Amino acid sequence: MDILTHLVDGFAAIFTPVVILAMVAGTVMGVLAGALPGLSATMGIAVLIPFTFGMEPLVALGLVAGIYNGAMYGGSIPAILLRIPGTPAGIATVFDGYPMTQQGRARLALRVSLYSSAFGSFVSALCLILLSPPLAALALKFGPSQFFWLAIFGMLCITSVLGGSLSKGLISTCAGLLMGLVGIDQITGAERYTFGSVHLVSGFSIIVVLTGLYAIPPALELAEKALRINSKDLNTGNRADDGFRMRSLLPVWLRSSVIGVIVGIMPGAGGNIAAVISWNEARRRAKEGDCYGKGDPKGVAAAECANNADTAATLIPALTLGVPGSAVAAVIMGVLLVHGLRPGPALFRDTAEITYGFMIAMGVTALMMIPIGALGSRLFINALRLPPLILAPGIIVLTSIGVYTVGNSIVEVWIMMIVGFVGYGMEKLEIPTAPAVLAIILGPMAESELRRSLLISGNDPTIFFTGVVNWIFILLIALMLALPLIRRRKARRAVTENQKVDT
Amino acid sequence: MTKTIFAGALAALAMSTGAVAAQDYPTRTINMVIAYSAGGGTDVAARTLVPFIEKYLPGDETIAVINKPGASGELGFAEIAKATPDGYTIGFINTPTSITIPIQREASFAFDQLKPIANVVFDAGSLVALPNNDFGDLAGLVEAAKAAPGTITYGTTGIGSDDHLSMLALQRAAGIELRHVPFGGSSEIRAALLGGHIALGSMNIGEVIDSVNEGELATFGQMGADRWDGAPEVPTFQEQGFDVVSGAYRGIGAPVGLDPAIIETLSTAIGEAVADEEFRAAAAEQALPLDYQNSDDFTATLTDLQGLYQALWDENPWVE
Amino acid sequence: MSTRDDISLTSSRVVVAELAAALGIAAIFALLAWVGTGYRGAAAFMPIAVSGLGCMAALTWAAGLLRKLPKASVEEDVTLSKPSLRRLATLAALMVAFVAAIPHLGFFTGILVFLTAAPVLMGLRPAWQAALAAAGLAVLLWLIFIVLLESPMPADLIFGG
Repeated sequence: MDILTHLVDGFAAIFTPVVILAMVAGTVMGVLAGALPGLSATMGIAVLIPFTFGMEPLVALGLVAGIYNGAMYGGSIPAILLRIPGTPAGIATVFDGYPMTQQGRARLALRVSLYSSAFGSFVSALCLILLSPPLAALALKFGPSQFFWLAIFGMLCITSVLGGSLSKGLISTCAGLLMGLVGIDQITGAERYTFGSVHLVSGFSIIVVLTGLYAIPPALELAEKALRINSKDLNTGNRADDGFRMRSLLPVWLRSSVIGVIVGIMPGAGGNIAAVISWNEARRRAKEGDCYGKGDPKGVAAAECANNADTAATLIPALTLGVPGSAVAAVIMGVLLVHGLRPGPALFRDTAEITYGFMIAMGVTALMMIPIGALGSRLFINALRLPPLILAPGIIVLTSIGVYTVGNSIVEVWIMMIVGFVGYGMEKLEIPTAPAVLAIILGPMAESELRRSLLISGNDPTIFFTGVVNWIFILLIALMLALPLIRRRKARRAVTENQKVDT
Repeated sequence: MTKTIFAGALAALAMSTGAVAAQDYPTRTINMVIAYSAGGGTDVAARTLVPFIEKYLPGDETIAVINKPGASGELGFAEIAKATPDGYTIGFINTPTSITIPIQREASFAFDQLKPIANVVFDAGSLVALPNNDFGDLAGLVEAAKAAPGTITYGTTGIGSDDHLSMLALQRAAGIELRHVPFGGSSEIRAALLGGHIALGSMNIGEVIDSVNEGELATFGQMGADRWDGAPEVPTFQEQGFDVVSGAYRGIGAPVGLDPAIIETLSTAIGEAVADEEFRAAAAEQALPLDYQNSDDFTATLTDLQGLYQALWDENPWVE
Repeated sequence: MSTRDDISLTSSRVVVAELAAALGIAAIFALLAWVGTGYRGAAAFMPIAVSGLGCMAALTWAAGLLRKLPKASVEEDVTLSKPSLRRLATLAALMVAFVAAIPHLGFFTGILVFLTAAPVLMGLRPAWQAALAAAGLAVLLWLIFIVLLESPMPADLIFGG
């Protein structure tokens, strides 16, 4: 009954005034970051990482939990009012949210979005709390050979975030792997790619890279687009839908939560995919009288519930195995690292109180969203009028001072800025950045676990093929590799069948 | 007119500052450089100790902790070594890295640019295995290693870490050969040990004593010259006939060339801080084996250690 | 559709620009692979393998573009907006100047100047909005880092320390 005591300890740890304040502040900041087009949860947390550095771990993680959940809801505000998704995950909310605004039912759409988001986030947090401890207990038995296969599996999952072009995805992955190599090699102690600079001997700080990659390009983008929003566009309409019963959304919520959680656990896919799948699924099951795509509250509910159900679930592989499945998870791993908490099974053993506290905070902030979203709706809507030309340099200032305080080093600020420019260039060339980030983390893990396994076995490669866990990973990897082939064959068959029909 | 008088006065003042500064020291905030990131072992220990040093230093000046992590500590040590030797920049100079980095590579500081002021912690090395291991005791382990050279695996926190160097010292003293498996941190060594992936784990006694007391791990001894109060039951390696004294010193140093009077002031204040009952209680909670040494003793200890590491390196460089 | 404020590019020129980027990336990977050959033993495997793979991926990309080049039209179909390029260049230049100035001015003076100048030079009117935001953020960050967290910071021109 270890888990129960840990849960009780976790509850006690987060219900202190400071942590509650942090969770409220985080949720407010998250909704704001999500609502502002161009900013996202990843960016909000990336800017914040260095600031959390002086805080108690749970205060920092309470903030992070609030931002993560809040931003997912916040993204729906401009999606509904302006047809601009505030975050990529808000894309499916546009489908039914904006038509509702055109019908003068914006206020109802926002309310549905709020409750659906809270429901999805809460279910997701429950899954995190229930699934993580057993998975971590299992991972505790892993040795170097198992971790090697796990890292390879994680890297293969990256291929699913490669996007359109395989070669561009590979470029990004290789760039990340190379950045991970910089510094002293763990196994031989040799220096690689340091070019004689003492600042590179311990490698790139993952925090500096993440902040640069996720905070600078959005800032440059804001300046480039300089989108100004007219206050008359921010009309929430005057139709009151007090007759609408939230309870009627329950079946949609349950289905969408399951979809969101499953998509979240799988490395690679993100909240936008969860939302689109869920919205399609809801439309597929449409009954008479439903009008998906033309302003059905159920459409908003399906999309928003699923993208919020994605949040805590993406943290499951990150917290238990140390394998981030998405960019946000990588950034949250960065927050843990700042506080000396190494993601992986040890998190649930050595620092159980903090880990459980964080998981509970994910659930608590989900519920907090409802009063915060209801009370602050005017504030969030008006925040859309913040001039991007002030916002952009503001973000740069925050990240610079934040990164400086982590290492008291101006060199790291330069590194962050250069990484940021490179990241912006990558976006313009349509080279995805997510594979690079995951590769920075997983590459060194794969390399050192490979060589560590061979040291243990005395260069005997059979160590990789002994034991059930190794074989499970090998089978999963084989499946991952076979999947695109199977899919292609299916597609080809579908094409030929279509041709048959045509002729 | 007034200007020249003023300048003259300033010059006279400047000539006498040496003595005056030492007498009044400290008159402003002292910076304490920590070569590791916040939240790490040394950082937590330093932040626990700082209020007590402030308490015993003359005057009401404060000490600001500045983290300068990077390059296994090189950035921080270089910051201390290159600072003006006025007593306002001090910092933790941990062994073995403050000694081994200049041995291993072209470094941005030299060991003799650092002046040891006082040692605070000595965490002796220890060697652990699962309680049901086949070796029994240290003699049994050495016998087994002699029977099958280079096959018994041991985990450390990395190449050139104190865990690694203490095992190099043991292998030299006992004439055995073991197989080194470096890990990223001591929690990883522990997990690999408990999972049965490696046979031995080289960790500091302060890190393992709780697990040993709980019966989760068994220890072959501690590598201090004397037994640590926190582990009075655990025999030292010397008691068992192997002349291995090894571990990690965490003490305070300053740039060389510091006024001896300031060294004395600092060293005394740190000594009083380490002796403070309240601090000792906090240290016990963090399982910090305290070992105060004044400037002369600490300097002698580190100089000896430097000779030892240099000899080990010349014999068998641990980095390719 | 294009106005005086827009720069029109033919899609063939866009492809050429992309091609240059792809070849540049391939060259960087090749250079890193060459550096990797200098490492000894097991430490050399990953650097060579990874940069080799990256180089090949970049060349594949370049080859794909090369194939696209003859098909690319010479019509003007990509437009870049001059004002937005100007804003981007202004911000990038000011960012670099900001970081370069920090060791001399200090963080908070730097923030005050940068955060006033950047929005105004990018075209924000009225200017007092930028000045107000700059002053507000500088004071807020000063309160957080100096008063609350007591972080060590470079000496500041206006805020002292």
